[in-house]
Amino acid sequence: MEFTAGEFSTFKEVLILIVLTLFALNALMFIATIVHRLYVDYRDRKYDRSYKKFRRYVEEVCGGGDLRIKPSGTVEYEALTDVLIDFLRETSYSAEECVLRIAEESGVINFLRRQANSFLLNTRVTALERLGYLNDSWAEKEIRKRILESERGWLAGRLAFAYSLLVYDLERLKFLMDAVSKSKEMSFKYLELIWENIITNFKRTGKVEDLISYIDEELTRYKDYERVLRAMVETAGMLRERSFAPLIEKIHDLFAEDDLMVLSTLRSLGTIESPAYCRLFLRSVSHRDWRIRAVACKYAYLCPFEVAIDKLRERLADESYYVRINAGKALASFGHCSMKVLKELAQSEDRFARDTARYLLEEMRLRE
Amino acid sequence: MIEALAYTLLGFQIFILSYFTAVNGLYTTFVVISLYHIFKFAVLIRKERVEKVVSRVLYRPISIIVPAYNEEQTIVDNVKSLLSLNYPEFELVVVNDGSQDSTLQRLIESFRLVRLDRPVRLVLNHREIRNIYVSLDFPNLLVVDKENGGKADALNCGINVCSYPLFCCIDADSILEETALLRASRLFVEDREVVATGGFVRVLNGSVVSGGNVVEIRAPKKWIETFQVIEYVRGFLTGRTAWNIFNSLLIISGAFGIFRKDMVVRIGGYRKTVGEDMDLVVRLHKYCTDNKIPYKILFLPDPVCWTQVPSDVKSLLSQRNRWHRGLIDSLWHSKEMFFNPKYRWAGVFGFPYFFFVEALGPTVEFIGYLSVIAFYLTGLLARDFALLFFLVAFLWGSLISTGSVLLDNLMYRRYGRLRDILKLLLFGFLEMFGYRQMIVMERFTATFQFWYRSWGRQRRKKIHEITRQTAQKSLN
Repeated sequence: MEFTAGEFSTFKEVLILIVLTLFALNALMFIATIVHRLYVDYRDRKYDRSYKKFRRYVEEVCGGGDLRIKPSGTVEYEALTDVLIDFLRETSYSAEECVLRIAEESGVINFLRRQANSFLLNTRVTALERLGYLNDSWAEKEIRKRILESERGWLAGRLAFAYSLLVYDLERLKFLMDAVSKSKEMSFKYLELIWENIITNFKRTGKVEDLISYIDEELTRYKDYERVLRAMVETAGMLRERSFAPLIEKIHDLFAEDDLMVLSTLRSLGTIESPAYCRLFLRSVSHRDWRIRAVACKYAYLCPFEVAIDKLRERLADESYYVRINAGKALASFGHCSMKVLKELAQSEDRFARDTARYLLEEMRLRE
Repeated sequence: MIEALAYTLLGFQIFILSYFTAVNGLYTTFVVISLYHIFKFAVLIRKERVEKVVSRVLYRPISIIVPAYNEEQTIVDNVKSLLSLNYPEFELVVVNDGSQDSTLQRLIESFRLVRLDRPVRLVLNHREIRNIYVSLDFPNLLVVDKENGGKADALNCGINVCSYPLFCCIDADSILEETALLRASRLFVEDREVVATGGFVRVLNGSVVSGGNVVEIRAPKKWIETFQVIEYVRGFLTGRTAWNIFNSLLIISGAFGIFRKDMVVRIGGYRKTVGEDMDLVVRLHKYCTDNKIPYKILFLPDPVCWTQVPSDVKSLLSQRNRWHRGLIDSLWHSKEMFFNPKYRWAGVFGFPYFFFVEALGPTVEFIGYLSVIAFYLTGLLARDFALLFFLVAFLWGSLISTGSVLLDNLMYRRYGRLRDILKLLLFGFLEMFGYRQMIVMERFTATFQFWYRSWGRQRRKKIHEITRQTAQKSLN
């Protein structure tokens, strides 16, 4: 078997074509990398300069000065938008009126509305988020429409986040809850961010009681969407919202069979640090799920020493290492009150309890 | 006879050409897939979003396990750097694996360590623990002093000692970015099926480090280190991102990975092998599938760990030799997965890829080089064809390297100076001239060493390992 001269020549020509194509692609990649780099460096420098300039202007205008801010070009508009949002958040919305006026007069709102219709997906969604921060009513309708049309989980997540910035009343809340409940792909982090915006907005407008009552009334509906509710529970704990504690307790009872929910409610109540819920922790230290026992033991220090001591003592011999250690740490956090008990346990015949107690005593001694 | 030889040569050439096309085609596909997915990831986790993601209460406590063997020069700075990580709840477990230098002494002096008889759950086997120390200054720092037993043994010991349900293993000479743990552990909160995640390991050499943190990122000065930057960027950014999509990621770097402790304990912890990191991940795939446990093993491109790479040829070759033997050993140990549809993508795609491309590749490439010499000496070399083939190989390889550098720049822009980017691009082109062949040679040698040593090992006794009971006794 041999190649004919013609076949070899064709093969050679194909190879030459491949070489030339690869060479062109290499050159293109090389140039693209350099050009991209030079461009983004230039853009970053311009953005930084603009941000500093607009920050000074905004502070002056909101401090009573008389300046007309007029950005030019996309980078300047983006810098001003960021300045306005940062200023709004840093001043806890006390300068809201001034910031929104600047956003309107400087053309930022129009700029963002135009960007909300960009052909680039990321630009569109980012613009809507920013409009959400700037409390734009046009954006509210627009995001609502797009959430209804959106099928992709991650996109729905970002749109829902943008919308949550605008949720101040129950009507909007109902719409958003329907949307997030349907989106099974939405990550837990998004749900948490969404709840944080909602709780913060309701608090800011003095309607947090309405929010709690609404969730309370709708609790049974959430049976099917427990992760939405669980995110609320965790977020309220993270924000240390004491007003949510009775509601969380109710959820704890209602979802007593759902281990993950029980875990979240205990963690949340523990983070809120309300001794009023001590009995929930003590009840859960003997739960069948070791994770729940561990969390319950961790927060049992919120209970009075006399009430917690027996249960914690019992848990020092738990089959789970995490439960033992958390029970031990809770005991140790009572300080000198628990010394006597730990010393007794250090002589125990139960190896787990003995080792943990000895270790805790030794650690307490060393750290004193 | 001559006709038969001619057929053989032709068949061989077709094989080499097909192999080369398939491998490079696969790499190119990886670059394209990665470009799409990393872009999508960047859309989801934009800068402002990440700041939110990393400052929440929804985290899982993590134990960081740092095996240390003769690390007296760097251990104190590295521990300080790790203690300053931005993470709400973590403990740092440094396992001094019988160092012969003053690693332990330096730790004791720098962190006010005191001996404490802490109870240890001995669920995994390892060499005897001599002492456990706690720090009076840092309540979340724990130092375990044990008999020397190798990295896998030290990690197993760390797993036994640590308290939290997730653990992160990192090398003692590596530096984690401040938010790396939060970013890498994010998925464990979001998805209960995640059993392991790995981050992006980048080359530290050349960058400016102050107070245990990387303050300025620069390309290395030495050529040997710069080539490794290209390799790391290409390997992590394109290869691993693509494997994610098929849930076929068979390797999480030993320099930085987070694992669910319960799963690792169930598979018996780390196995004593030179490639314990890959071996663990392969066994996790196998165990979860065998036991019908839904699982995900993922790579995340944004949590970054900076690591020192070898700066001389001897150390580099020794490292690559070790890695290659580890690769073959891991594949051999879980050989039932090979083309086994039971293991889904990992079995029918991931495993064969690692076998044919990663394990077998150096041998094929080495034979290819040899054949060029043989054909030249026997006058059978078609020079035009050989030259064109070399050009295709060079340009295709460069394209993949350039594509990776471009991708890295588009998304992360780690290197601040334009000259560093230019240097990386240039080294992407130069890689084919000597460096690649040197690595191929070493990996080819490693292949033979592995089989030679494996056959030799069967005739020797197994290394004595202490039993759980002995270890328990020693602690009591």
